[in-house]
Amino acid sequence: MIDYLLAPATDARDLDARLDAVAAAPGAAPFDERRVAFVAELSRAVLLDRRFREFPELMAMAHWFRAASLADLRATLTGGPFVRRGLVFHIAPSNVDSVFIYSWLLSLLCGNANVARVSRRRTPQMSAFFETTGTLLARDDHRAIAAGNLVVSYDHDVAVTQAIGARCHLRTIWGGDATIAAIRAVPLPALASELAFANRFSLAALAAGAVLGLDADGLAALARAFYADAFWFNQQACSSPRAVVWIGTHDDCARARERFWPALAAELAARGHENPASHVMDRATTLFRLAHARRASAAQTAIGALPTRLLVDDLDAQDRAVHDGNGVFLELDRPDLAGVAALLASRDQTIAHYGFDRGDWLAVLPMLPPHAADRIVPIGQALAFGAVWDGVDLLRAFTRQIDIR
Amino acid sequence: MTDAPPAVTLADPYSVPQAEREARLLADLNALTAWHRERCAGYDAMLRGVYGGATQAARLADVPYLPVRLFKHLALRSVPDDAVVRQLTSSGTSGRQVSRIFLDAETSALQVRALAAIVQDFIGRQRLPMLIVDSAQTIRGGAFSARTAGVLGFSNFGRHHEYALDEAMQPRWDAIERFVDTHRDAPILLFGFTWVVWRHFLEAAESAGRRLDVGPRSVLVHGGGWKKLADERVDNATFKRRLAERFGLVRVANYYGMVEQVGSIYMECEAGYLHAPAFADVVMRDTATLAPADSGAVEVLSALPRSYPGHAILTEDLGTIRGRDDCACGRKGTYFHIHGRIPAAELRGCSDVRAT
Repeated sequence: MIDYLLAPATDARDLDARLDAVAAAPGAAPFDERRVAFVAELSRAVLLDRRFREFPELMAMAHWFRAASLADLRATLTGGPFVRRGLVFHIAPSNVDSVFIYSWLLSLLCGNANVARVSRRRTPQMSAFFETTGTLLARDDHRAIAAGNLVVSYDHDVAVTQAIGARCHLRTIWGGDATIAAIRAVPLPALASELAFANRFSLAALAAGAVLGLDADGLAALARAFYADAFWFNQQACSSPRAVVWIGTHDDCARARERFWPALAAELAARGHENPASHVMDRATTLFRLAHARRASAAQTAIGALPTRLLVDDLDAQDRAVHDGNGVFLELDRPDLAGVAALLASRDQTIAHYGFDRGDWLAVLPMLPPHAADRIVPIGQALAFGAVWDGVDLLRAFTRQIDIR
Repeated sequence: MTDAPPAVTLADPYSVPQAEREARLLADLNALTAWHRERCAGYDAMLRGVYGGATQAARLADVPYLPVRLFKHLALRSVPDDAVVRQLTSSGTSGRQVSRIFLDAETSALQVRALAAIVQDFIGRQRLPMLIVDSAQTIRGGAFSARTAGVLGFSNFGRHHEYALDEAMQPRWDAIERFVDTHRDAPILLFGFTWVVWRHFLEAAESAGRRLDVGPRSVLVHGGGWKKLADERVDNATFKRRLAERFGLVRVANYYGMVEQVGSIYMECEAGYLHAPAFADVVMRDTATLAPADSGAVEVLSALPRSYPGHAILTEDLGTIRGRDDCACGRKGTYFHIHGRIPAAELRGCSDVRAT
């Protein structure tokens, strides 16, 4: 069964007719002023609606799409000329709803028609978002946009995925190796291309000396930033840190840990962070799985504790696969950033850092393995969206460049 | 290497008072911890990483335990491949990972003897005519599940076995009535999984308007979990009342057990409590801190597992200790209640986007 969350007003009854109508809807040039106006208006509506105040990830999204930043975004699309791609099929992750919004709105700004599949799980914030967006799309001045955008939920059904895929020019799969494998089994038209964002692992790199130099306020601010990165989505987002690498002498690293974790505990307590029994069990299981099959590790916390920490001397593929989120951190010490670079693997996406600058990182980039570290951002911004994601410039991916001579 | 596994006393599982049985069980469990560390490298690595290596406990609650879900992720065993005589799997629903438990001849034999010691205390030494509330096909099926293991294990306590259900899980009323008739003068033993007894025997009889009179000395033993009954808001008292009404069954004993610790089951007594035999025990752990408590997540301890490191397992069931040594039924040791499962959080586990 298909649920239509956002759909143009239509007489069409079945999916095929609806998809045909969306595919036939008029497109637009990238950053067409009516589309920019729609996105800016949607952003304003979310920012002003009290219902969204308690959902920081949606406030961040709306802020990201506000009118001023749309102008900056447009300025990044240099060269060209660029035209829309056509119909873009977005497959959204179930764990981090807001990712779908970025993917969809960026593609919409690029002038495309869109069909998005979102999770059946209906959170209050997503219900509110669809309501706000639906109201806006129903207005006369947005009718042309509404005609070319469809958001659906359906249980995994090859026939539906096939029907959408057959009409698309680009298929975008957000996260999940298993989902990517399942969706890739469904063929695309020869002219269509695909973007797939696989499961990734992320970590934090903290300079021990810098943490030791913080005063109480600075330490609290660092804990707050770390909390946002790791706990907004209970470490379920690909870009949330799951390992913490301390950089400095062993002695400094040990002392920095002793300063940092109590500050994080205070932040968790102040936020009243939820800790259901099932998460305790998840952390307990993950802790044992991480300790299994390695020669040396040392738990720094009791079994099931929030957070749970395991001190290790290396990271391997097993760690990256086994880690299940919900507040478990692998901890390591390294003398310098070269040591951090040597730890990394292709799975690694985001490094949230503290105590380093751009120059420090530029020096170690040549040492990175393929695909490792697509994002190196200050701590507190691990979840911040960027139009360049996993090394892909989404505006360029959602458009087509024409070579005119 | 420790060459001989610790000896374990199985006879007379309910007469020894708590203090005495605890001392004996603690020694057995400590010996098993050392035994498995020498034979299962992964177990040893986990104990060093999580417990820091100091793993000889001073009390039962300090015996190093493993979370039950590990047995779904890891193939843990303390014997070579060729010593494994049987692999048990949990009866997981389709698509979910199942536990894998490796048994050698010795552990398997211990489980049989342990179960006998427990069950005989409840139903006597005499083998009773036995009605198995399941289908013969289930038992002949491929996978060696907890259900198969349960039926086969309990079959040792019966004779003249008859299966109550056909391969479509429909009651074989003619065969059942003939069986009850034939054994009218003797008590009979009925055995089945809780939800099978409920759905395919009791409810089936109610909707078909069938009644039986098995007599006041007959006994039903059932286990396997309450989840499906809890979903339909059927509690133990309702279940018992309707069994008595429909079949004249007045002796009904639930048991709590799991594929990860076959043999050391916890039987429900006449007073309605689950009892630990002397070679096993439970520790409840607070669900937030996992510190020992009267009520919380149930950890099961058993002196039986030699071929896999499963002598101390933290389950995801919830329970409450009701007392020790002073149950109205006269049995010594820990007695308790089980309340069901820890509820799943909204989105569990990996950050993989579900393909379904």
